[in-house]
Amino acid sequence: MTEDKIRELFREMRDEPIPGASRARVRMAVAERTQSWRERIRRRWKLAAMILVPVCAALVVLVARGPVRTTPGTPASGTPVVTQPMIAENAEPAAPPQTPVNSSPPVVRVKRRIVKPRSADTAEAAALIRIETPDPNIVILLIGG
Amino acid sequence: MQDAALMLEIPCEVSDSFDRIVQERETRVLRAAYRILGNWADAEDVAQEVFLRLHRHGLSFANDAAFGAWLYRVTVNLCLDRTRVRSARPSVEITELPSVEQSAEASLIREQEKTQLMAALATLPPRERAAVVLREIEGLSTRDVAEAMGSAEVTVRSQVAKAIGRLRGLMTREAR
Repeated sequence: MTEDKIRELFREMRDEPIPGASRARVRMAVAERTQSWRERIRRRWKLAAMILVPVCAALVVLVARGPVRTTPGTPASGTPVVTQPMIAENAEPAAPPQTPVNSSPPVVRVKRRIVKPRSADTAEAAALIRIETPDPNIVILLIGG
Repeated sequence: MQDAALMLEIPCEVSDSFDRIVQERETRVLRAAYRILGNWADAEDVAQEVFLRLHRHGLSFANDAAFGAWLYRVTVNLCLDRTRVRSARPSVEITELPSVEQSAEASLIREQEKTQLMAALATLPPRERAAVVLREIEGLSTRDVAEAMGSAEVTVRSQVAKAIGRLRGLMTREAR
């Protein structure tokens, strides 16, 4: 067999039709798999939309409301919240401001004194000096201890 | 409209253009795959994979020639992968394609020769076989075959010449 004959046979093969069943199988398989691919994409878009839409809506609402006022949070340990300013027992009162900064009412500071109960022995041991002044209404008592 | 232009529409929901490309190109892809692999079942699998890759990537091509080269390249690569996995020579189906009407005897002889040629083709190394299929059966130019196979033109020319020589030897031996 010559090379020309081989080439001629090859050329004839080129013109031969493809079996319809094979073509149909390929077409069906491709269509099926590309449709499932399309479905998958569509499902992902739906899922993304379901997540993104509420998030975007919440963001829009937050932006529309403006800055948020924050309140102090309650401590987790359950300790009572102190709403009044606590002042140390021996703390010196702060100097009054020379110029009023704002028109808010001045804070009234309450100086608390804690009176410790004295034991009976201590009370007896304490020395008492009584000084009488010319004025009968004034008596000076000096208590030592 | 050119296929290359149609490709731009693939990523969209409109799948008509893709279906049209499949219809237009499936013959060439299937035929090339069948001639390289030697059986229709594998050829169908390869053709499916080629079109699925095309659909998945939604590639756009500068022109029709580039698109054709891409199709053949993917087809050849998938066929070569498949022959590598099987590592055996492809099994040639005895059933041949229906041929053009001729006289009964001449037609029978012709069919016999084609079957012998297919069997001889199946004995060639995969790359030589692919080069012959693209050059001689698909009728691509040497340059296009080289592009599809990722080889130099000189290599393709040499592969085809060597393959034809081997086929001639095999067919002559068969005729005796």
